[in-house]
Amino acid sequence: MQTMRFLPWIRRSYTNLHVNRFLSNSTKTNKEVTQQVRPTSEESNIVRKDRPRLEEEGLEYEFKDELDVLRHKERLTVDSTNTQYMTIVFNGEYDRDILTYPELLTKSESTQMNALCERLKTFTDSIDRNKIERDNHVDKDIYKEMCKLKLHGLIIPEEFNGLSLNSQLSVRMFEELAVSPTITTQLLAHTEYGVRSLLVYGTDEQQRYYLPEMAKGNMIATACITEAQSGSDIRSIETTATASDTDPNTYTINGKKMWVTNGLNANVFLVYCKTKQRHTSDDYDDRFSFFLVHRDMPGVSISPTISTLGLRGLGLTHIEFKDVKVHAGNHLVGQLGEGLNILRNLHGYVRTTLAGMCVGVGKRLIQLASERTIQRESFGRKLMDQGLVQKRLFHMEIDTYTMESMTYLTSGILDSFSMPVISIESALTKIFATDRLYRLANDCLEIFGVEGIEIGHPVEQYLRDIRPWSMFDVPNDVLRLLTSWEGVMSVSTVVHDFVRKIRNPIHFPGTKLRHLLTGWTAQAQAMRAPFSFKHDLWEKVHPTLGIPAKDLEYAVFVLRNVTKETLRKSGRDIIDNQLYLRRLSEIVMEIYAMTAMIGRSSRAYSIGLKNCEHETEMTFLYCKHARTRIDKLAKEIHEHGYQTGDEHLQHLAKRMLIAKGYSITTPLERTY
Amino acid sequence: MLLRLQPSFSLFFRRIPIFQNRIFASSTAPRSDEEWEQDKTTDKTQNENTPQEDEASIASMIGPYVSSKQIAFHTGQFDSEHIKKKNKQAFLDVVEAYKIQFPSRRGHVEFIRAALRRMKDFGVERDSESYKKLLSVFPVGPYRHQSMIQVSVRFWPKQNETASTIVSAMESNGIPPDLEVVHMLREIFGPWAHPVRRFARFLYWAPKFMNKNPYPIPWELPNDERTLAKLALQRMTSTVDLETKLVDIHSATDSSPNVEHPGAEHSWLIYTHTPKQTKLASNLPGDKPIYIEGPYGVYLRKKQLQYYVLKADPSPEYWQKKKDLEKFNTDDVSDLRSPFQPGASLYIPPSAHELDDGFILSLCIIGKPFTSLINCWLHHLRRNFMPDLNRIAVVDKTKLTQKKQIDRFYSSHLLSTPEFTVLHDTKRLAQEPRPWWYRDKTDDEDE
Repeated sequence: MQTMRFLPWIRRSYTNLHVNRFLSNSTKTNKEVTQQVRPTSEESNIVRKDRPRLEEEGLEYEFKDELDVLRHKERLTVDSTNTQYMTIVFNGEYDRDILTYPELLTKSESTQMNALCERLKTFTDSIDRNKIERDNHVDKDIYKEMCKLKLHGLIIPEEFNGLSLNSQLSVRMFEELAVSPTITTQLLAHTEYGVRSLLVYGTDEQQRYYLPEMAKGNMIATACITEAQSGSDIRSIETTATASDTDPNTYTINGKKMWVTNGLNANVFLVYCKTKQRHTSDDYDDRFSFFLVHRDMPGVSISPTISTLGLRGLGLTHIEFKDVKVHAGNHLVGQLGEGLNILRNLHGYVRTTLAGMCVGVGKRLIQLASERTIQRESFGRKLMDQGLVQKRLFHMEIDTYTMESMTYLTSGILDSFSMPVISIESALTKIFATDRLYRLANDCLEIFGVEGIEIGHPVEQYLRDIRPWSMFDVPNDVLRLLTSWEGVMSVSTVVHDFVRKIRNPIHFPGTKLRHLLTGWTAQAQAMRAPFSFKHDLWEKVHPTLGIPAKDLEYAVFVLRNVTKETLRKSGRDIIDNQLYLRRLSEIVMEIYAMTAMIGRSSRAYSIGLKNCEHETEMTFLYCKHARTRIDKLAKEIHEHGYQTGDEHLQHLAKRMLIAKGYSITTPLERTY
Repeated sequence: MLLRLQPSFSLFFRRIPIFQNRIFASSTAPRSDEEWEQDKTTDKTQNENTPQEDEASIASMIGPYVSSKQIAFHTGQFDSEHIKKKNKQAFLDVVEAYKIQFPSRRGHVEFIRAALRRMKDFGVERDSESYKKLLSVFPVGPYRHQSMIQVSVRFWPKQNETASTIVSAMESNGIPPDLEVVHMLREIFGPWAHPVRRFARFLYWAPKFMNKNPYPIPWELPNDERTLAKLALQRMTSTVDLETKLVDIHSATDSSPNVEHPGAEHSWLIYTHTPKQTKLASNLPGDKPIYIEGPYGVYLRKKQLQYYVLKADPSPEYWQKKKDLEKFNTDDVSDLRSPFQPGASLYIPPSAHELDDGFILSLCIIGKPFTSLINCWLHHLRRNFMPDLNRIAVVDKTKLTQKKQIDRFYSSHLLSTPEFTVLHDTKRLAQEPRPWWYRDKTDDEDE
């Protein structure tokens, strides 16, 4: 009976935590077995005649890969969407499932992946970056090599002669390729806009026509979205597609698209247009559609390439469409008027992959920096023995680790549901990855010193190349606002009544009083015990990560209070108070980063990956620092505007704008 | 009253054997030396024939249901003369033959125990596939537990224990765990059975231990001597100085005209060098010799390799530095100087290559014990990395030729002459006072 006593422990204990994840679906319960033995209907009798049960075949054991079956058959065939993890966090809720880091690859798949990565590595090593840099042009040989490796068909299914990788795997490939950023950015536009839109929204005929050609690399796709007057504000575009009066299926596209990635080589353009429908009004969202326009259609004119800072050889062009006639049946992607929705989903994929590319570059930069610190000496000792350099290296590594965990978590969500909604998560990932990568490259440059700014040096090249990534789909600042808008909107449905009352204390004195009292008690509680264990996140992670899990829970707690506080303070103006919104998005970004790191390092520790202690240590440190940062942001929100400096800041900015420039006189000026 | 009597009561009860819940020091009688020795001998016998003892202990645990007769029968199957070559395929064939011969799996426990005993003979004790094959001998279904009570009161002890024995054999042979075994065990014994839990623990800990080594080494060593040598040198040097570079030379391909070695002696050598060592070499005085020492032994798992060291005597600056370290007082903050000023108050410790018994300039492993290879190493080092060694004399203190020298010494007439030459290290040994435990082997043989 001794065992019985320990059972509750064993259920909970970490020994079985991750082991159970492999196993839980593998064993049939005895009930099922007995049901199999006694078939009820005639149909099952027939089935039994065809294929006897394993036990009857001679007590043989047959190993099936259960995980594989689970993934392909069950989860993805049902229409399943995820919780909007990072939106409900604003409300103080937390879906604990996200702490279980997605593990979708089987052993054989991961070995395949490693083999593929090796091949990509030899390919990227063979590319001469300096030549691309000098010529501002990518050679045809490189494209041919890419076609040989089937890189244009990474996500295209095997029936169309592609590699049919899932999202996690394709992100991994992009990570490996990102060592040469120009080519990878071109491929990103091709894969995640062109191919993905057809894969998700294209009709069968479109898929059959376009995908095999795209997989071969004969047809290279890109997206035309941005215009001169509308960058991130995608509702105000001016390119129109109007149905002709005679034939409702023929559309005429008119407009000018700017800064088209790889416009030089692309054959197919995914054009984002406004379609005026008779029954939709102007302030309604379904008046945008995507059309596929071929390069050789009459009316398409392409400008010569534009030189850029970094990403040289990208083939950035402007494209003008003048009375281009397209057929709705063949060239319309998705439904008419579904464009905004399509774009939102595509952006999810693009951002995730872009973050993966940032990881690749980050790893490369770390490699460069560590080589340098080992070799270089100053003040009679190696650079690696010096504290400040060590600090830089530490930040480089921890940032890369964090962005890697976030990226693969996001792409894992993409893979594990048939209809994933990850606009917020992917936005957070992209903001974090691009921002931190720039800082990382900066650190790397500092380590290299003057040697690093010499034109042609890899560090200098990377520093320029990664700079445009932060504005690739939508600029980071806009993404920040987008994130916190979503969150605040979701909170407002819950707390609008409270906010109305608390902002009118004359009419609702009771609410005010209660708020004061509970506020005091809450503060006292926060001083004494940091927070209540509402979500019990520690249950979902390995016990070694209990403290980071508490930090995460604390962050969720703080975010909820702070969101409520901002609503109370600015009321309906919160949508326009960008300074508050930025703070909220920073906090939620930290929460997502902590989530990803804790989940990942918990998994790594439980299954005993190599250097897993390193991972847990980094998680500890990151969560600790994140907590102090969150505290600081929360304090800024709780303070009055003049205390934080928000009001001064806005005032000064206004004054500066009145002067139209720097309004201060020089200190050498005299008045008398 | 009762309370005051309590200690005496308890002391009284402790005298009675059945109330002795703990063993106290006083309760064990002092044992004579003979008894100790007897214990030792029994230990020895236990160690010698473990399988039998193992069987016995299992029998005592789970009852006398494992038939030794059947075990003997199945062992005979493995020892049969019809098996020509005892290899993995033969082992799998025997298991397959059993499965065909006994479709109802009669006596499968005995068969598995017999097979486990004979695994070493077939050389499959480190092969996970054979263990899986053994597990597949269990019938699927009858031993699945239906409820937790069946687990806790240990239903089907014989079968469960046998599966546990398989799992523990896998553990002790260091087989990397995989999920397939868990699946099989769960199919056979049910999700919470003891062997499954045991394997789950193994699954949790094994990867941790496998990755725990800070100086990682492949699980299965390569057979090639040259890659082994590379591994050994990497392990010795890579963490000490991160800039270490290995140089891999094959004397047939990288032969230099200056070094002569006879054609039969073509072989390879691998040595290490770092920029720091080059710097050390450039500061060495020209009037003092440096030494080649060795061979020293280094182990990779169970394989021993011999390596040689190029060493120089520590310089007076080194001793000065050490003395400074002793004098370096962290509590004294009176006269601080930044590294930009002359005489910076910054203590930089000597590098990892500077040791009390000498500066290590290079490590080397050679393919065959030839002096010419050592010369090749030196020549290569001088020409490519340490040109400063050209002005310094090198003394070969290796014991490569020692055996030959000794033979020659004993066979020659020099033995009787007073001015025979003694090898360098032998001479030094002769000068040093010998420790009390030192006895010459030759003396032993004479006696």
